[in-house]
Amino acid sequence: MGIQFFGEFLIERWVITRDQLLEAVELQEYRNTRFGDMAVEKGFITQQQAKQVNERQRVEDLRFGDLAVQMGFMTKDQVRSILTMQKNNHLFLGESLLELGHITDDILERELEFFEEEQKKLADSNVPVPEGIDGSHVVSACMDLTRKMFLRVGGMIIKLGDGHLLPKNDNGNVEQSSDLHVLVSVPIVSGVPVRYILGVSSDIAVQLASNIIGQDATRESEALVEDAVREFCNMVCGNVAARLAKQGFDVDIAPPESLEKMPVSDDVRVVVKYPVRVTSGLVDVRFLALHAAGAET
Amino acid sequence: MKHKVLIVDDSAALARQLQNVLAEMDEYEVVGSAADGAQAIKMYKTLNPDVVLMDIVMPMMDGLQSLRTILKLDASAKVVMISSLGGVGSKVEEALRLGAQNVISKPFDKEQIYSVLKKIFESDSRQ
Repeated sequence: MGIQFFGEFLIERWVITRDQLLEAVELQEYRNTRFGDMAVEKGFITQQQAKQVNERQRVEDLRFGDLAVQMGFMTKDQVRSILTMQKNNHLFLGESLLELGHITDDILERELEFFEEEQKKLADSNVPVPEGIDGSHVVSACMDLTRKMFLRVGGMIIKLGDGHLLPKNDNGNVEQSSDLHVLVSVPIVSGVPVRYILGVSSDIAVQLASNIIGQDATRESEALVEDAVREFCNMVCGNVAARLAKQGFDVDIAPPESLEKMPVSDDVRVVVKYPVRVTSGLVDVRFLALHAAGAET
Repeated sequence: MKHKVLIVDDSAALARQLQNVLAEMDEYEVVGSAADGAQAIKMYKTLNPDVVLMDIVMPMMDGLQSLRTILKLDASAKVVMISSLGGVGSKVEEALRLGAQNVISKPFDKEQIYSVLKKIFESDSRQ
């Protein structure tokens, strides 16, 4: 089970039906006022300013309140008061289902307990990210979930060292890179683009493939093994998107693609590398990010 | 009689995983495996499966577009989406609004597949 919203968890377990979930979500949407609308309603900002903040959110991945402060439209105290109002009046999915009579108190309590237990396995733990790169929240979530998915999907424990920026035009360990049998990249967009890059040696690739397909992959074709590593990266980044969506970020990922070689830092792009220790084999995780917003990866 | 299953996933590894999981269950028979949404529509027409297990994010034609077309062809089609993009309010919610029976999040356990398929056919036999 990956990172889920409570509603998905409930329908996957058939506690509620698809139609009941959609009805409850509609009730939430109707009741829960959006930050910008509430700020306009309270007279803190104008409609025009709210529109400007929304437009800016398309290129900058910040929450409405943070951006409104940055743009000089709201004070931090005003943001805090809106957040408090939102928190006090927020209708949660469970409450919405209860109000609609689609679930009872005792079932809700039981399911919330199961849900929290399940999601704890993929709970957020912060991985430090070197300063000076855009999209550090994406990098941190990717590293945390890489570690967790290696255990959950691959049955392997990996240990992460401190991430660091590679010097310009430095491949960051050329001799090791040549031992990396499969290199996969996943473009992630959350305001600014970041590329997740995973390199693994052939034994690690086969182990990942064996665990994913549910049978020994030693004699499987190279194409299938490589595909399994791509799918692993897809699971990591998909769950990153799900986790960040829960935190209010809008994240999109593109399908994983195989790479011929590791990208290097240059004038506009930086490479962040995390040293990874495994008991046998080789794992290399890197990110291609931007020095300055607006440039392309 | 076994329930016929069509698997739709651009990842050959994921498709193999689903085939292996279903091979352990007597009630199901995998009748086909499509690598994208367009191929899934063609195979749906010819194979007439009882249930479709379909990835959401795929190249060429994605799972949502394919779901729409399959439901146009057969309003009673049973389609279960499989996705790592958890999150109501996103593609998952769209799939449910379009008429997918359920959504299974990746990575999944075989028990999740068993339980979702079992419930689909249980609720079907009650109708």
